[in-house]
Amino acid sequence: MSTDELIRALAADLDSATGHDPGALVKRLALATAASSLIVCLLIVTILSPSPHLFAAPAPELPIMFIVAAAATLAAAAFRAAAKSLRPETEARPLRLLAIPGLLMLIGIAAELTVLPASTWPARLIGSNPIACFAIVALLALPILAAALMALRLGAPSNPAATGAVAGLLAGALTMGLYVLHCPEDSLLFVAAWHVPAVLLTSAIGALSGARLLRW
Amino acid sequence: MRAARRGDADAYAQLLREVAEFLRQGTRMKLVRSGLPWWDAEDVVQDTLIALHRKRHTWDERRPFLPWLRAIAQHKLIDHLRRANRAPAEPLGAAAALVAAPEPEMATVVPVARYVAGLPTRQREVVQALAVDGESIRDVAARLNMKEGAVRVALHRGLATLLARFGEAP
Repeated sequence: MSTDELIRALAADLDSATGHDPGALVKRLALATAASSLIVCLLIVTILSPSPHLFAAPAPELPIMFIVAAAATLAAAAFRAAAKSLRPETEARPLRLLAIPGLLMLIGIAAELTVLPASTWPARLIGSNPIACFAIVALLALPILAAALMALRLGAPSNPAATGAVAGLLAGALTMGLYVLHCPEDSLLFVAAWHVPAVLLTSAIGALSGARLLRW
Repeated sequence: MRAARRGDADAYAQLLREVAEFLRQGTRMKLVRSGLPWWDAEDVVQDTLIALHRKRHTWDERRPFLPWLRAIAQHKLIDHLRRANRAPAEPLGAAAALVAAPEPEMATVVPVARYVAGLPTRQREVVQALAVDGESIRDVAARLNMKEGAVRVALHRGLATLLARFGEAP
C-alpha cells in the first residue's frame, strides 16, 4: 500500500470519528477513577470494621488528618499528571509527584517522634497487623489502577511506563486515603512503614502494566 | 485538522498529504544519522500517519498542531529505531543495498499490502476499492451491492484490523 493509498483510506475512515477530544478523555479518566474509588470505598465500609479513630471527639485525630492530606495531595497531583499525559507532547514524571506528600509525611512523622517517647516507637511502627494492612491497601488499589489504565488507553502517552506509574500512584493514594475509614492504627510511623510501600508497589505494577497496555 | 474534526474528509486528506511531505525529509535525515537506510523513512511516515489517525482525538484544538505532530512522529521514529536495533539487518542485506539502491518507487511500497491480503473478503474488497482504486463510497456500495453505511463499517473494521496488525509488526 503506498502512502497515497493509505491517506485515502484514512480519510475515508474519518466518518467513524471517535467524537472525542482531550477534554472528553480527561472526563472519562475522572469518571473511571471516581467510580472505582466509590466501589473500593463501599468495600472498605461494608466488609471491614470502621476505624476507632475516625469518630474521636471533637474531630478526627491529627495523624489521621495528616494521612488524608498526604493522600489527597498525592492523588490530586497524580490525577493532573495522568490527565496531562493523555496528550503525546507531554511526558509524565512520577517522581516529582512525591515531593509535597512526602514532605507532609516527614513533617507528621517528625512531630510524632518528638511528642511520643522513644520507647513506644517500635510498638507504633509494627502496629497490630502490619502485613494485613499492607496487603489490603495493595489489593484494594488494583481496581482503581485497572480503571485508570483502561481510561488512559484512549490517550497517547509518550512514555507509557511513566504514565502507568502515575496511574499507580493515583490508585494507591486514593486507596490509602480511603483506608483510614478502617485502619485500626493512628500512627504516621505505621502508615509510612506499611501503607506507603503498598502505594509504591501499586505504582510499580502500574509502570509494568502501563509499558504493555498503554503502547500505541 | 479543525476541518477534519468536523468531518471534512477532503481537508483531512490534504492535511495528511502535507504531513507526509513534511515528515519525509526530516525522517530520512534522522534515519541516516542513526545509520539506517533512508528508504525506511516511508515506513516511519506511514506509521506516523496511522498513529495520527488513531490518536487524532488527543489533539487539543486550543493548542498548536505542530508540537503534537512532532511528538507523534518522534514516538514512531523511536519505535522504528528500537525495532531496527533489536533485529539488525543481515550483513548480506546491507551489502546488497549498497550495491543496488532500490528504485524510489519501491520505497513507497511497504508491507501493509501483506496485511491487506489477510483481511476477510468483504473488508478486503472495500479497503482495496476505496484506498487503492480510489473509488467513492457511493460507487463501492453500488458495485458491491451494499448499503453505504455497511461499506463504511466494513472499511472501518478492515482498517482497524489492519492498523492493529501494522502496529504490532516486528
